[in-house]
Amino acid sequence: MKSLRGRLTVWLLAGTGLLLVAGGLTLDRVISSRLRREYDAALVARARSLGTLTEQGNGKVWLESVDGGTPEFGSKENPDYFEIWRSGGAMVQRSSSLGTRDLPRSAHAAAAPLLSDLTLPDGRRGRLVEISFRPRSELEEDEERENAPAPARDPSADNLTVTLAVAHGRADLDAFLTSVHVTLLLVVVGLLAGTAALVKAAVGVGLAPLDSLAARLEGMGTESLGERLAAADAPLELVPMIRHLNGLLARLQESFARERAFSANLAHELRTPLAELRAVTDVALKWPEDSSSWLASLEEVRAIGLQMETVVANLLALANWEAREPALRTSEVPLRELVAGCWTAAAREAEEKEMTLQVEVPEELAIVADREKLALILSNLFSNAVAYGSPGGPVTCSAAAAAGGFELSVRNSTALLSPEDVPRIFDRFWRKDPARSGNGHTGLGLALVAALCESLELEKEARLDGDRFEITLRGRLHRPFINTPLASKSSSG
Amino acid sequence: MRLLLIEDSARLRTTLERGLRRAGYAVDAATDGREGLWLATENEYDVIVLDLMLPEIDGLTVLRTLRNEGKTTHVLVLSARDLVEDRVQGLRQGADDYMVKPFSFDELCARLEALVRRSYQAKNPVIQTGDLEINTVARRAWYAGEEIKLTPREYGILEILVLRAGEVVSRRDLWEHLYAFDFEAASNVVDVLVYSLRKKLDAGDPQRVVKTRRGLGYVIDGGAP
Repeated sequence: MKSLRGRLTVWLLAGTGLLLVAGGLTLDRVISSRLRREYDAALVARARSLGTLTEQGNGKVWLESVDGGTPEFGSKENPDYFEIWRSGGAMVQRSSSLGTRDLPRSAHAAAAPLLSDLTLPDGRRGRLVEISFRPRSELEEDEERENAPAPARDPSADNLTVTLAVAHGRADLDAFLTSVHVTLLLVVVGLLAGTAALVKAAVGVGLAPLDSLAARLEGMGTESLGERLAAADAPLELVPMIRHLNGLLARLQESFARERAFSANLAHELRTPLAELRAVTDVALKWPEDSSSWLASLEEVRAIGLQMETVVANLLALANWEAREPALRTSEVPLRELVAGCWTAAAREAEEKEMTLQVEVPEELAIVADREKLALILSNLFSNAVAYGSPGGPVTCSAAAAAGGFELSVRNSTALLSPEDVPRIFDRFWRKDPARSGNGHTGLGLALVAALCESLELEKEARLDGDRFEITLRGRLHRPFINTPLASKSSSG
Repeated sequence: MRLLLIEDSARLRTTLERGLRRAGYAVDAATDGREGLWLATENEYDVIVLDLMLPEIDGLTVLRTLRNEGKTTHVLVLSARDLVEDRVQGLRQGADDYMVKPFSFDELCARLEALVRRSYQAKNPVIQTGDLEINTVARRAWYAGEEIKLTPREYGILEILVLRAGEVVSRRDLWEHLYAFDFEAASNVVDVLVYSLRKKLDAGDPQRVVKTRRGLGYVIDGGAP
């Protein structure tokens, strides 16, 4: 499993580690190089000073003093070495520390110092510098000393070139360089360890809000769907996520509430008739001698069966329409005629409640749709309007062609609804009355309307304006059949 | 025993009313929470059968209001809500029992009998006092080992007197336990029933078992057999 903490830690550690190692190596290289240069410069200076002690005259070359007057060249322990050759390769002089041995000599000695590593005659590691130069002649020295012109001599006789090689043990340099390497290594390792601790702490502090968010979410269950995540103290990066999660929680809570309401309502719709059935039969069977009540009980049982049949049929129809793509049998449907036909089923109840139908549908308006399903929609809308509309009030059905489609509305006045009921009006089994007292309706009518609208690709909208409740359907007219302008409106009772 | 049934389903209400009356209860029925609350507040019932999803005032509010007003009448909740939290909530609001619909009528009767017995601190359905013994489940009575054939109302009178043995029970109390709120009976119906009961218990000495306390009511002496 990919861990944000792990990835951050690895990347930060690897990054800072690489930087530290690269920095350490660079520093080591710079210091070592500087130290070597200074060491070599000192060696060259030493060779040059030895060179100043070299003189020539009359075709000879010599050193002014034995071992250049420097005890290191004659020391028995860890001595330094030098050797002077003529340009032809003949040895002129060597330090007493060399004895009869020679220092290595390069074939192409030049005026510029030539530096190299070597193994000293006593076996130590050492550094060698070779320089070629023309030793000062004795004559020049006398001139300088007495500030007088020298006697005439053959100038070519004092023009010899020699090569001077000076070797010095480099144990102290190596020891110092090693101590520099070790120190830098320790510093880098220490810094790496410190960085690791710092990275761990920084990642911990940085991801703490995420951890707390994760813990909060982990602790949430169906019972805490009403709670919301606090965005006030959250880091800026988490605020959009928290806002989004809160939105999801709200939708989930609403969904759960609807599901619970559905389950509870379904339980009620099924349990109540079952309880009635059980009670009627139990009571009839408890006193079987009372044959006079049998007929009444049987009638009760039949009525309950029919009621349950309606609920189950509606549920099955809903399930069918929601589960699969319905086969549509489209035909040209004159809306005004359809409205009149669908009202018939609700007319009897409407008459009892002294409600009338107002039709505001143009005579010529026809659409292409599945007539049977459209009729079911209208029947359910009328049934709903009559059942829950205010007694004595009209039920108005209006239709008109709209841009590229049509609009069909059924409205009635009602004192039963409040604005917060409107979003739930198409929920399965939703009824305003929490007691769900029987009035022959199960709360599935508008859910069926919603499912049918879905299958007919109709857009539905419920609106409550004061006490006026209206359900509007909008659909596309694949082949509009509007023969005349929609000016004429008529009504019937 | 007097029982109040608060149920909005007309079919269930009438069926239960009929069945419970035949089972010996004096039944008052209410169709919504408001009417039920009013009846429960204004009258004394041995037990109330209460639906939860009621129009006007829901069942839980009815129950809470009754308990807040100090009414200790035993309440059996009869509801389609079957979730554990529904039952817990019902019982915590003061219900004495909870039954989920659909239910067995026999079980309902048995639970109601248990609640009635609990009202009178009697756990055993067979109750004895002196030579008298009644079975509150079978609704039968024996005197000195002999079964006495009683009508449902005679048994009702005897049951309340036995359950409250040693205590004077007023005529009004007896009447209220026998008849529903809206039942119009003759004013001396209790005296007539007691007379008839005495004749069946001990015709030779009518005052031997059911004694009259003039101006107060009737009493059966308590005591072990």
